[in-house]
Amino acid sequence: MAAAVQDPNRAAVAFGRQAVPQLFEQLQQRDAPCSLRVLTSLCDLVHEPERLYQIVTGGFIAQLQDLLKEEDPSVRTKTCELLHLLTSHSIGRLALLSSSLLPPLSDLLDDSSSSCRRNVHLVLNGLAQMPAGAQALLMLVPKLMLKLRQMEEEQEEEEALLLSTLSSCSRLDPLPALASDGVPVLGHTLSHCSPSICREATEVLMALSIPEDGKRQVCEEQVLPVLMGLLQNGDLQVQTNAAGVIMNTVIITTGPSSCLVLLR
Amino acid sequence: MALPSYSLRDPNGMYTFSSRPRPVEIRSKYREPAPEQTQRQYGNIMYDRRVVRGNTFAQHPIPRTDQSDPAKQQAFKRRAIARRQARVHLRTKSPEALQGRQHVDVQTELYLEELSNVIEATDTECQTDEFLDKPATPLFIPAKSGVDAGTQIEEGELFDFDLEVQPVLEVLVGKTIEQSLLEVMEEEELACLRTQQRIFQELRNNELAEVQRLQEQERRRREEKVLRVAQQKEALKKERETAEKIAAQAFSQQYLAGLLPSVFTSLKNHGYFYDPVEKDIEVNFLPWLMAEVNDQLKKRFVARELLDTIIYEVSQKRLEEFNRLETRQDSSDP
Repeated sequence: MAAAVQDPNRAAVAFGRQAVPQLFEQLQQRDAPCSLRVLTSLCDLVHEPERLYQIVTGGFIAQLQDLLKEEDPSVRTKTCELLHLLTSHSIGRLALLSSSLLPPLSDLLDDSSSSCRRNVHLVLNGLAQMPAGAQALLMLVPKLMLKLRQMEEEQEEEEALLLSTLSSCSRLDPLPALASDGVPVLGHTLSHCSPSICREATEVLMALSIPEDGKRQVCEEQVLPVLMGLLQNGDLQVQTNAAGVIMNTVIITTGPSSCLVLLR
Repeated sequence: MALPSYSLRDPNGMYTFSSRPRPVEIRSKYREPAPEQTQRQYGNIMYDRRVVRGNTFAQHPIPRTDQSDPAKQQAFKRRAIARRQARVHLRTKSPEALQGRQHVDVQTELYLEELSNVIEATDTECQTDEFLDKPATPLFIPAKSGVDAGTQIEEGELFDFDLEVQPVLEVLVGKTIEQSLLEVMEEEELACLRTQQRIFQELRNNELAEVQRLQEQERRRREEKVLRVAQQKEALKKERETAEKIAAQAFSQQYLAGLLPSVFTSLKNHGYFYDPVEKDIEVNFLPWLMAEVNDQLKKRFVARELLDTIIYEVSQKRLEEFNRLETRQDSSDP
């Protein structure tokens, strides 16, 4: 009866237990507009935990792998949105980690469609909040640093999400990010950015400045002047994070000396 | 797509058509240029223009030529007249009468009929009688048929919507509010968890910084200590070396003190210190002298030798001569 006034953007949903399996069967047909409608319906259903559990335990996640390689960008975007909704629950996150979806997802980081890239970043961000997820994403850190370097001015949201993922990963293990020249890139990001990006970038810096190598790099790469400037920033979080970086840096002997030089 | 219709031709030639009942689509007054396939706007049949509503007797039939324009009507009339005239012209007529003859129209049916323009008409009149007063017609009460039945709605039998709906409403509202409360509580819980995480992170950062600071301090102190110890060791070593050097120097001095005179004496004994004149005399003059003396003596010796050989030869000669003489003498004196 509700289906009589059907939204043309969504596929029909069966009742009860059959909803999810039937939708995934329809996905097997690989018809692009049909797949888009099915994915929209799935995205609506997944908000309910029971359906999410059904998806995870029914082993349907492997099917999504083919969809990630579809030619139509809207299909890829919707699939990534579905994955993002999956990461809102712990079983979804665990299922994502244990499936082999991470390599195709990391390939999609270079996708041409910006909404698809944004959704991929959302998925990675969601995964990185969990320690096991951050561990799995540590291998992706060099690629993420490369993307950060290539990031242009307009992609603020993507940049913020990327930096948030990096901060979660670096809190677990800062060495990969340090190895890929994290500190110079972040210093460069700090000098021209909006508040949200500043916040995230300073958080990453704080995580990176914990090992000794990072502290030394912060002193050497002239990041300290920028940080001093950020202490006057209006946003509280930015100030806090900048202060945190300086706190970490002055532990080594060159830290206080460089700071004093700057203060003069 | 969702409601398929099937029509097929039987082998016998029968045509069958079956279709699922489907809701009627609305059709607007003005057709849209390209109706899309996927959009099916199902309309209310009560408001469909194609369904005739109400009394059909009062409606006038749809006129054949629905021409509202008077000019068009006149044109149509003119065309009709022209058509009729053309038809009349086209109709083949009987040929003209020959000379002296006359064509007459004659009826050829079995029973002749008088054709005239005058229509016989008769007028008839009729008139009713005067109306008589008549009493009012009695009420028509038809004969009773069927069983009498009575009904009375008692108090509380009527369906009171407000009463009935209350439990349903309570359940609905209660469930909705419960759901929303759960969601709000979930969000609050999440926010609490995030706050806890943040607090933990802050504490961790602080403690980490403290630990690192202490580590650095420890490292510095240790390095300092190691440096100092090394310095001290250096100093000690240098001191020891110096002492050893001094001792060695003193010992060697003392050792060598007696060395020099003994060296000198031994050298002198070995003849390394010499009087050059004496040496010169010894080395140059005396050998020369000896050589010269030797030469002289050699010459004398040679001379003596020569003399010896001369003497020997002479004596040999003499001997030979004496021998010859002797033999001559021997031979001569037998």
